[in-house]
Amino acid sequence: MISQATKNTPEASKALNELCETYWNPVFRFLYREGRNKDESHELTQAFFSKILQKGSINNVDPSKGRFRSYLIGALKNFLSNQKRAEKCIKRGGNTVTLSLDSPPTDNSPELQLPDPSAEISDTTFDREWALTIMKQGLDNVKNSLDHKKLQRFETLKPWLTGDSSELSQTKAAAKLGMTPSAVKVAIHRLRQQFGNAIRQEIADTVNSEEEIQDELRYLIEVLKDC
Amino acid sequence: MVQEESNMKNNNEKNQSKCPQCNSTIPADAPSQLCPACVLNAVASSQINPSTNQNPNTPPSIQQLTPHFPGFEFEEIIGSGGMGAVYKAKQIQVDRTVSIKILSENFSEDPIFIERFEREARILGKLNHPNITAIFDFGVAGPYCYLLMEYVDGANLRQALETGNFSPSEALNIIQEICAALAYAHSKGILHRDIKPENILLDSKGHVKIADFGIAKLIGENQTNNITLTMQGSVLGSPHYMAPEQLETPDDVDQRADIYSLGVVFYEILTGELPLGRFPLPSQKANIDSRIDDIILRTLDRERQARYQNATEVITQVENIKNQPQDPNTKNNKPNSNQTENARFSLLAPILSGLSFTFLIATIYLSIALKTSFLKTILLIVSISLTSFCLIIGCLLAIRALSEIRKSNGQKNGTKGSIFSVTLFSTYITGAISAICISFTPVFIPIALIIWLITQALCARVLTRALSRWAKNTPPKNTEKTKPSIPKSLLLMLAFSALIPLSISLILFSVMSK
Repeated sequence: MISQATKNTPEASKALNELCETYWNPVFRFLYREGRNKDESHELTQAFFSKILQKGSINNVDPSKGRFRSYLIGALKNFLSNQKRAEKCIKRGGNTVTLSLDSPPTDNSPELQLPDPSAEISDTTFDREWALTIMKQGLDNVKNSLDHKKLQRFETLKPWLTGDSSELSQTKAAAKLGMTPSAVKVAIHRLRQQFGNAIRQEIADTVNSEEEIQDELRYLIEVLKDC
Repeated sequence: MVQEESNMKNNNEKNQSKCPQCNSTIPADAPSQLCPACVLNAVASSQINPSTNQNPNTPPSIQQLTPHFPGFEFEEIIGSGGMGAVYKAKQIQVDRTVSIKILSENFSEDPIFIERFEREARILGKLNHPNITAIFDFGVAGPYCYLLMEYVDGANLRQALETGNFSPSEALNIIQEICAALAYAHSKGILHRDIKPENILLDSKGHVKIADFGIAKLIGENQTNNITLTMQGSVLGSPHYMAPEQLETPDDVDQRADIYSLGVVFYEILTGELPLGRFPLPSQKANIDSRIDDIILRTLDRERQARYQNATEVITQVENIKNQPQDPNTKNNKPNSNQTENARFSLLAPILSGLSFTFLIATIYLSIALKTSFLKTILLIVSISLTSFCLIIGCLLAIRALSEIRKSNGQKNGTKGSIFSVTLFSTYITGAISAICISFTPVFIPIALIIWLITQALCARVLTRALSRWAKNTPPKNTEKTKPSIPKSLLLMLAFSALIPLSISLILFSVMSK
């Protein structure tokens, strides 16, 4: 999907649009967590994506290298430092008090107490949001494919998506759903399979090759474990 | 966005739940309140393509197959192993989903194989049972030998097992259905030869469908020269599930080999492990009826004579357990004697046998005490007849009682009394033989008598054990070195009763006379 998005065709812009729509959340939540208020984060996210979509700065990315996640965080950092520079320019142009960034630590001016976004950006914070988005997309894909009855079944069986949980009784789930315990096992297996495929598909859209899917998955798990 | 904001609010609240899997706190912004790390971990550890990694031959791709199957739309590969690869496909004309098995090796050049393949497939195609995946068609398409089979929308037992072990009652249901399929196929003279969790499918309602009946033979026979090698080299699959004789003498197997594999599967779905080495009993690992242990031990006996002889026997045992559930708290105790009844005649038989003993004493007394007269003859005839009558009838009734106890799977009482009657009867017979033998060696009667008594006591013990095992319908324990059977112990008794006293006496007699 990335390689598709980097081409100069109408399909490409559509693909890019889709990608940006999906990953709007990690960017927004990342900015929010960085300490901005909601409106500011919203505005910045909007500005960031519109810049990407308009300028097509994605064309600077070599599709054979890197993942969409890495690209996006790189672009975001870039965007934020540009943004900061722009802000400074405005301030300078506005002839307000000019303060140097290289001021000695004894300088207690309020400007410097604000966190510097580009310096504070931690990749893991962003990557965690990214992992959660992938998971949510996977769950939504599965849910969207289910009819009303199966959706109820999904709600009962979803705890088993985390693995073999002995604390939960499949027998109780079976009684609740009016199925035999063996049928519940089959349903859990199929749900896991469907969800696994959805997650892999979701990740496949952000990496360049089949082989990278598993690596990316492992990476996202590590990120989630660390947080 | 609304949801997003509410998530954010939740994020600030600290009342968060814990993940049952990794016991860490589930972040409030986790989608569907599932632990994200565990969910993605479960995805990462699940197989991408079922069992393709075990397959030494790369299965043909859908693009390769499509030109040879014009009436079908291949959808995906759903599994591959030593026997071949299975594809999900749509049969366009009848608009149904089928699975197509492409045999692993390229046999289409081999006319002898083709002939046998078609012959075997025709037999397999006649298998018609709700618990066996049906074969609709078979043939050769281009370079591929294929079987067109029923598509089962579900999971195999291995995949189902990955979601957790089966409870005993689920396992019993599954074993019962597998046995029904096995009993049916065995009655048609077809062995499966490769029963393992991967070949046992569960449909979406949880019912069993056994796949790949007879395929192991189909492929295996073409490799007669290196069949053992290929089987152990796991090309044909699954040595852990194979009966000992199937690994040692693959040409000489019968339905009891399938029974063994069934036992392995039974053990595995209850415990999640294979019964390797000195494996713990299922009841030691979980709260499981000890009678299930008995079934599993018997199916897993190395000697096929000691296993259940057919799948119907297993069904009977499984039904017994299902119909009379054991209180899990007393699972390791024998059933309470107050709750179970005595087997018919199990009291009468030992009483009759005891009476026969009294009559025997009377007979001996009469023959010594009374002077020879008409009355003595009459009395002797009467007492001997009564002795024999009580003895024979007692023994017959005891056998009747024992078989009833066996039918109840050792639940009914009266085993000891009945065994006493049978043992007493055989002791009488061998005693009579011994008496005749000893009478030929009048010199050393005391020595012969002592030896006879000792050997009889030992033989009676062996017989008692054999009878008790038979009556309770239990396999010999692994710890027992000897596994006495009833005919063997009877022969032993006869041999000791007649031959040993006689020969010893004769030897001593000849030594002394010199």
